[in-house]
Amino acid sequence: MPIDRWHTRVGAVLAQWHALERDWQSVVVGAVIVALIVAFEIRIPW
Amino acid sequence: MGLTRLLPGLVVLCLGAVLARATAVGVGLNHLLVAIALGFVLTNGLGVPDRLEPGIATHKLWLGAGIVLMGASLTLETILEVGGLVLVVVVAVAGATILVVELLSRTVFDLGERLGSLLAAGAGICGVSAVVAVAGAIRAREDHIAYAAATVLLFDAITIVVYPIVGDVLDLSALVFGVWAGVSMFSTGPVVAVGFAHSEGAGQWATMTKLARNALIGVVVLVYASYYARGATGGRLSVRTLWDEFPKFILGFLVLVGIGSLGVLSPAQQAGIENAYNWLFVLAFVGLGTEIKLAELRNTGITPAVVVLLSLLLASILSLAVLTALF
Repeated sequence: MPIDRWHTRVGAVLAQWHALERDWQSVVVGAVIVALIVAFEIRIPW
Repeated sequence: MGLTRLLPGLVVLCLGAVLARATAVGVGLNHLLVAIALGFVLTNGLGVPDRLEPGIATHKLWLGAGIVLMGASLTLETILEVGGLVLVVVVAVAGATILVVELLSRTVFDLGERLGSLLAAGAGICGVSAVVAVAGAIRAREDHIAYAAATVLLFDAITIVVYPIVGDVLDLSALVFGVWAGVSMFSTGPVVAVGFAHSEGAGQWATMTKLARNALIGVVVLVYASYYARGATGGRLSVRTLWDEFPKFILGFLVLVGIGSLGVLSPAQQAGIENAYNWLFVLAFVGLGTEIKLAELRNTGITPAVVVLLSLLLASILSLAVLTALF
């Protein structure tokens, strides 16, 4: 059962993602990257 | 299922980005121009297989995300310092370009008013996005949309090569080169690419200037929709139209400018964000290169190309003269 619940949640997140305009998707990607860098002090090599 | 469909193309974008970076470091070329060249060779040499297309088509998403992140490297102080003047130049050049293309299309080259309007929007505001947005508002014909989009892409390809050369020959400062590219080139991707190919500062100014120009798209769509709806039944022209056409990732960019200006990010975090947007740009430009298709560019009509070339020359020379005088 927990796996079903997990599938439902992932499905809901994906549905919301696909419903977003591409511009908003870019904002979400940017926000996730900033959150990851700030929260985990991730070092990205260049 | 969506991810598995995107994965092959995304892997190609990532490999292209790493290869572009490695080549740039090894040979001393600009990584963004190498990325565009790789995409160009892929699409025109080998051809992009169907299964790669969905993933490669995500490149505009990565470009938008990169621009959002770039906001963290800027401060309100930097923008406000010369931002007002830049904004005046943006509005003046965009307005003049639209007027020149409209006049040439209607009076000299007899292209027809709707095709002229599509070319004017593409040249004056933001490339293919503006062509598509205005096409929807004025109910343009499909072949006219394809024609106008091909013309814009042709000049994107030309300016990607020519602008960096002119910038080097004239030894333009980062501010002048960046604002000049942002105010006179067409699509956002090539503007960001040539800006950062010149220098980090030029890239930031090019992107900010182009964002200011892109923000005018709502107004332009509104004006065109009003013009073409005259006499027709109920053109729904409203704040809603302005919002629908507004490039929303600018809001994300502005939020990060605010966060960066507050000084809440540590130097390490800022460096991480800067590296992230550099990678996102390389990724996006491999995809952008795949959109420069020689076969499609050959189909561009001579007359629309001449109209756009004349307006580009005018906007480019005038804006460069003004910017050199101002800064």
